[in-house]
Amino acid sequence: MTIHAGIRGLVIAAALVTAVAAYAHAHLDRASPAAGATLAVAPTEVTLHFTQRLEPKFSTIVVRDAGGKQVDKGDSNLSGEDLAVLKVSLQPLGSGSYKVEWRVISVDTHATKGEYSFRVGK
Amino acid sequence: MGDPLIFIRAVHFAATLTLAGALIFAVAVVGPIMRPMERAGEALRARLLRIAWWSFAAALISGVAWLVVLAADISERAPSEAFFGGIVWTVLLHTTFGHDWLARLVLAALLAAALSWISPKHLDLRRWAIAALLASAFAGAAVHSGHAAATGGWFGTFHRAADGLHLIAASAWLGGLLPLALLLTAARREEISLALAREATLRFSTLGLISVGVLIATGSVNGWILTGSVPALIGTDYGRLLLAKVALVLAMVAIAAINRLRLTPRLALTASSPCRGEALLHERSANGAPAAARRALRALARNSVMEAMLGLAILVIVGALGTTPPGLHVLQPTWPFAVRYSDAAFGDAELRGRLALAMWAIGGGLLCGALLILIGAKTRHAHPRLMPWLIAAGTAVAIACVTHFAPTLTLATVEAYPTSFYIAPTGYSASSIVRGAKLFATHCASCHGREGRGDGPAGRFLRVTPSDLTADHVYGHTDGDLYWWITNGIREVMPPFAVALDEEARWNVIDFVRANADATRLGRAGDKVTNAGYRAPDFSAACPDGSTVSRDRLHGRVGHLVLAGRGSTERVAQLAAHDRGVVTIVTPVADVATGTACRADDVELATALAMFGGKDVGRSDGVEFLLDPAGMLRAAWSPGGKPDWREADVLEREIAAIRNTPAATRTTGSHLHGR
Repeated sequence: MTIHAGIRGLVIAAALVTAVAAYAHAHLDRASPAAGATLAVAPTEVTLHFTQRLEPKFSTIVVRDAGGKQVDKGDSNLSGEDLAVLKVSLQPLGSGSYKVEWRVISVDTHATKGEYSFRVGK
Repeated sequence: MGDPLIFIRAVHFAATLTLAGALIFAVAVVGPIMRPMERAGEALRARLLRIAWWSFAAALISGVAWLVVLAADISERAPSEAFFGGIVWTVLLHTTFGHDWLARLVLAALLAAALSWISPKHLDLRRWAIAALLASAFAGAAVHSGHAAATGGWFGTFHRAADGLHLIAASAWLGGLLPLALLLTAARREEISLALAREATLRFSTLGLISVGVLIATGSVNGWILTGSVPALIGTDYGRLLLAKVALVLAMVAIAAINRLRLTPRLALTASSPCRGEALLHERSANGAPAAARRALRALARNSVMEAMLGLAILVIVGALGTTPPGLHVLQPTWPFAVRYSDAAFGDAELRGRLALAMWAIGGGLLCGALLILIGAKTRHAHPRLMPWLIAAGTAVAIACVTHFAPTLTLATVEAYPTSFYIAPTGYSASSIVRGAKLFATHCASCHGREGRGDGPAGRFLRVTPSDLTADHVYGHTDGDLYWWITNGIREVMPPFAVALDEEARWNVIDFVRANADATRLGRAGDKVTNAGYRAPDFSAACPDGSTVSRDRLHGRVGHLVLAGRGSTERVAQLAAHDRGVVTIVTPVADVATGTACRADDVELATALAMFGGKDVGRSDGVEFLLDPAGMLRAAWSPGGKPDWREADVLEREIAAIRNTPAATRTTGSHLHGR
């Protein structure tokens, strides 16, 4: 039976996805406000968590309203013990839909970018 | 492939490897046996030093080019603008890559000093050794310019150490090939004796053997860290480049083996057979090498050059690998086979028995066959007549076992599609599930039923009854399997939805189907704690202390999700009165005073949780969920349910039960991957 388990384990190890905790190329892990979220109360900042450390000099978030006007305060900065959390503070937001555009450079020099939207109000 | 960085990286690696390799060659391969070479030794040292200087120059130039092109890339400007606009300095002074480049610049300065200190006229191995150490450090320190730079924590240190060793081992082998070819050519010109050439070749192949060992060990570590799975290895550009690299390395190893096992021994012919007859005598050259040895010399030199060419091809691949996203992070690896492994069969006692028998029989058959063949080969002198029979019998046994039992192994496979290992990009977020629910109602419910039970009104007229999407079989399919069927349809059973639903919409539907099946099961478990573990929709909540928590970041604590309803303000206050080492998360928060609890201000999360709790949002007394530290929903409760969570010790017991028994891990179905 133990040999069974061993064989099975080997086959699984060889064939299945294992969650090795590795990074490289920063990907957006989660966001606040979340992508596609509808918020009753206007947020005061956007916080993006990435899968790896970022370069502070070259990583930014821009938030725009439906008309394309920039509504963040342009103060993108890194935090978190692993320097993987990028924040930007927001001007007071009214109801409507907003787009978050981000472009980051990970410490292994690779650029990644993306965008998503959230809504404030019903 | 048009990225100039690929070629700059390849040139830089080739230069640094040649630099370190030539110096290591001087110290470890020819250094100790150089004394008898006299004048020829001096000439060889001069050549090695020249190689070192030239590759040093190439390394510097390509290093600067790398920096400039990179600065242009990450600032999205033209290289000239990046260079003159000062971005190069920002990169150099304010990034991890820049700091690594500065450190390597210091190493380069020291190395330049060490190289100028070497004089080919005198054999001073200490000076060569210092230069070799600095050059190895210069090559090994390039780890911060690759993917390893980004791996975090102690694991990252381990990854970079492995990567650095990999580079140094590659220097010793790859970088030594050109010096070896030079030395062999010198021997052919009879500047160096055959015995010395043979000695040097043997020493190099020992060094090569050690290098290959280190390369395979560190390469496997790095490769696995950056791909992490079989689908990522065979289904992504990164993985396939890696496989091509491995194939080229194997070709190099094969050539090295021929050199060591076949050609090098022939160089010894002069020593072991001073005279093998008149015919050979007049073929001898001045230093006494017979024609066979000279041919071997030529073949060895040619093979070294061939190996070096393969090495160069490998470095181009390495250049490309560094600019390709690692397989691990590609969400959509293309599965090339029509089947995939499935462990479902192991759950059935009878099938498990058959599979085990087949594995034993195949293993045993191959072993038996190999033994018979081995005995035949070993006893070929004692029993020459027996040998063919033994070999034939061995082959027959092996073939019979494999052909008879291999088909059984297909029990452990199921049908697969190119998209089978796709990973949902939606992250199982609450908003994706809610959007999926709407899409499901519009596009799927007419056949599959409003709740996915396969009982939709239109389904009754179909020849094949629509699938019950809450049944167990759903858990046997990957998200990627479902994605394939929704995209392409199932022949004569289900139409394709590639036009009606865009890619994201298809993933939304899949997230809903998963949530719906899980919700059905969670509902069936009543108010009891379940060990099955149903993945919670992703959320993000802000806590009063300024931290944020999410499904995947509960920091080892149990989560208490409160879907607010009537009377939730009092309930939250009651929960806050006991500090139970639990994160309390409240949603939606519009009408609720959350006090010390974390707030998830997300209407979609509330809608998704209502689905899991079987309630309408805002029209109930609320629902509460307990999440284990892994982000799995383990229990649901609403006011009036038994046991009564309003009693502190009852809730305490439930929380303890969750903390003490982790959820059973599911190996198939949704969420194969952590992210």
